[in-house]
Amino acid sequence: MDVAVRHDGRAAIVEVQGEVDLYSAPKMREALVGLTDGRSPAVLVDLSRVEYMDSSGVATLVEGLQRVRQYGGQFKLAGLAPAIRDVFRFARLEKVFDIYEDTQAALRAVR
Amino acid sequence: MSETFQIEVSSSPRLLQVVRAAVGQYGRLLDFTEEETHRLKTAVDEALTNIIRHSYGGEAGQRIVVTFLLSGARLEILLRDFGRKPDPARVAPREPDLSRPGGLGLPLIRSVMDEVEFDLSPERGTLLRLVKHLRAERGAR
Repeated sequence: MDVAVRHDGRAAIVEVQGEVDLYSAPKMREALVGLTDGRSPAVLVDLSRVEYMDSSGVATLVEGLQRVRQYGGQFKLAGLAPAIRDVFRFARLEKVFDIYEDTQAALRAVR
Repeated sequence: MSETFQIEVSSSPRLLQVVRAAVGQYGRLLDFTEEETHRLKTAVDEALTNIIRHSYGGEAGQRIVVTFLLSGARLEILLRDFGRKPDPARVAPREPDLSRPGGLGLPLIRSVMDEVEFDLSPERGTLLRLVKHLRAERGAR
């Protein structure tokens, strides 16, 4: 799994690629913790190139959301393939996150 | 017709992707759709993750045996570990809860599989039995 961070205006975009599981989720967490420690005002996680995500990945995103909320920032997810969205639906977390079709739509929603 | 195969894997998180690949291959062999295959992978992956995290407390190098048994339209997956037994209250059916250990993985497994049963009777460890009923036109032919 690969994680890269780029910036677009006020938003930090975390690009995740590959399979997110118990082994790889800490790498995604490291990127999110770095951004939230720096109080990034808007964190967008681009999941469009994620082929698989288990509950370890979902729990990491929940932690990211909670950390951003603590300082009043924005946390958005973008580009979830149907199989990834499935995991969020089963976990009943679809309504907990701001989920967008793609990063462009998520960027437009950044206040 | 029936068939079986077994994977023995140590409790190393980096091997999860290897088991998922095998499950994916078997799903395709059973004519599962991509969606069904993905869900089967999720169930096995979440079960292994729980074993690594909770039965073995994150300790690598411990033994896990995964057995696949196909009998007609019934696919049974047995996961045997030799670590700490789960608290029966923790494995009881309940709503997803991210604040508890295994709070999300087990509800995910239950949402995917038709039967989920924890056998705590072995002297050491646990036998987790997952069952999926295949549609009539699928399975061993």
